[in-house]
Formats: sequence, C-alpha cells, structure tokens
Amino acid sequence: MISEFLNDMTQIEGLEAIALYRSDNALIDTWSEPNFDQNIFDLVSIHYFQIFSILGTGFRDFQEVVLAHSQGKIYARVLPDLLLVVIVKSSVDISLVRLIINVKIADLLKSRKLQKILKKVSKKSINFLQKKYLDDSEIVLLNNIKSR
Amino acid sequence: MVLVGNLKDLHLANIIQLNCMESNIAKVTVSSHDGMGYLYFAEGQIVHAEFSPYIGERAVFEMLAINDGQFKVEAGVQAPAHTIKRPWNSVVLDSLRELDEKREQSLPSPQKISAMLSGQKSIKNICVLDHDGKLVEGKLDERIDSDFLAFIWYKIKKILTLFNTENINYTYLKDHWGYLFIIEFQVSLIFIETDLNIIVDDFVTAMSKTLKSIK
Repeated sequence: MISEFLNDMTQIEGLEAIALYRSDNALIDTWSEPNFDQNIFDLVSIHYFQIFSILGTGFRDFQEVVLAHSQGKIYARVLPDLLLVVIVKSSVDISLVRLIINVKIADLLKSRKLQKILKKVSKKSINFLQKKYLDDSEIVLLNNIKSR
Repeated sequence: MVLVGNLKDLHLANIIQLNCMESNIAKVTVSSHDGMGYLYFAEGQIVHAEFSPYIGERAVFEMLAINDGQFKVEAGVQAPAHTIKRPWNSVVLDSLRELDEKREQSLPSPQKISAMLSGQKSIKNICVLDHDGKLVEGKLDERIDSDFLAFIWYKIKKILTLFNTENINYTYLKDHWGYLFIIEFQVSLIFIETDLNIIVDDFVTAMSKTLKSIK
C-alpha cells in the first residue's frame, strides 16, 4: 500500500522507513531501507497513539509531531482512522514529506484496499491511556492531570 | 609513583576521597585554564591546599569547581604547610554544597529566557514550564494544558530511547494555526508558539543561538 500510494516518498534520499497503522494499533503496511531494524515498528506506535490521544482531549487540533534528534527525524501524523510514522535522516526536509502526504493522502484514503482494512476496526475505539498501556511515571502524570 | 589524568574522567572529589581513604601521603597537582593548584594529603586528611591566590579550604573549593583540566598525583610528597584542620569529608561536602547553590543561582530565570526569545517575528507566545509541568513563566494558550504538555514531553523522551539516543535537537507539534515548539533548556521546558510563516530549520537555528547566548 505504501509502495502504491506513497511511492514518491520512498524515493526521497535519506528516507529510512514508513509505517502505516490502523487506529487500533494494527500495522497495515511498512516500507524501509534494507538495514532498518523493523522491530521498532512494534514499539513506537503506542507512544504516538498516546500522544495523539492526549492531544485529542480538548486541545488544539495538532495532527503532526516532529522529533529531530541526533541521528535523524521522526515525523508522525494522525489521519482519519490512521497513524503514519515516517523516519528519515537529519538531512531530509520534513516539509517535503508533508507535501507528498498532503498530495497523495486523498487517494490512499479513498482506496478500496484501505477501506476494506479499516472496516475491520472495532467500532469501540481503544483507550490508549488505560493503565495497562502506561508505566508508573505516566500513571502519576495522568493522575495529576485528572486531579486538577 | 605518579598518576596523571583528566578531571573529565575522574572528578577531583573522587581523587580526594581515594587519597584520604587510603591514608596516602601525596600531592595532587591540578592544572586548568583557571590556573594551577595543589592538594597535599597525610594521615587520611587533606592537610594543605593552594590555588592562587587562595590557600586552605578556599583553595579546595576553587579546585572542586574545575571540571576540565589535568591532574597529577605524586605519592610520598610531604605538605609544606598545614592549613586545613577540618576533616576532609566536611571540607569536600561543604564545598560541593556551596558549588551547587552557586550553580543554581547562576541559572537564568524563566523570565530572562522568555524575554530573550520573545520579540522575534512569527512568535505568538512563549512560556516556560518546569519538568513537573508547572507553568513558571508566561501564559499558555487556553486551549493547551501544561500537564498534558509534560506528559507529551515524557512520551517523546521514551520514543527517543527506541532510537538509542537522548539528544533531542528540537520537537514541535503542528496544526492549522501554527507550530508549538518544545525545547528543553537546563531545568526548564520552553514552549514557543509560532504562526506558519517560519522555515523550521532557520527558526530552530535562531532559537538555539539565542539560548546559547543565555548560557
């Protein structure tokens, strides 16, 4: 699916990996450079679902989180029923990644293939801020929020 | 026997502790861009210290403040004078405590950070939070909650561990209104809201430059 709808993005020099998740944290598709450690896909998404869950509770409508660190950048974007995570080297301009998504996303969202996958999502959305998904520090932080 | 090394690798407090615990008769020479200093040990204590223009406990304090420099430990060298009477651990602990207090006082205030960063084109708001999410300077957009931001920052740190790094260059959130940058600076988290008329990399470079000048 990524190769089909986001092929232009995979051509960006310095692009390392792309992962597309359903809103229940099911991995729909991935693309990565041959040496990229794909195990990261299983670990990274839950954190973003939690960030966007928090952002979705009365916040401004933040849909993108960009994190630039010493070894590269991570771009995360929440889309209707989807989460897209793009991992790039430091040299890559995130605005190019954003532009390609903006141009291509409508086709992806309309595709029958994706619609079929999204139909399988439970109507009951998952609460990623439940205790079972959090560590002790996060529980304390959330309790502070609730207690105010 | 002579032992030489860098204070970056072995802090002076540890060198003092080692010589006192081992009851060494020794001279430790410290050299840095701030000058040369000498510590003398005998009978499990620091007996004398010099760090021009200071001698005695004040010289120990000044030398403990040095983080970058060379040290040389020479065994069997006798002290030329006896200027320190208090137990070595009291001298070191009091000095370290005083250094900590001095360091805290020298940190820029949240007000100063905010003032230095504000006034730049495209910046709509600046606020400073401590690491517990408590707002210490500025006012947050009413649609944004400081506790939530602290949670998000914690999650971002966790994401970073997956990439085997702790060094964040910058992070930001984006919506249709603009960007919300989160920058960790010393013991504070700085949140800068901008409109969309910025070039992120240029903006971050300018901010980093300003923060470096505050340091």
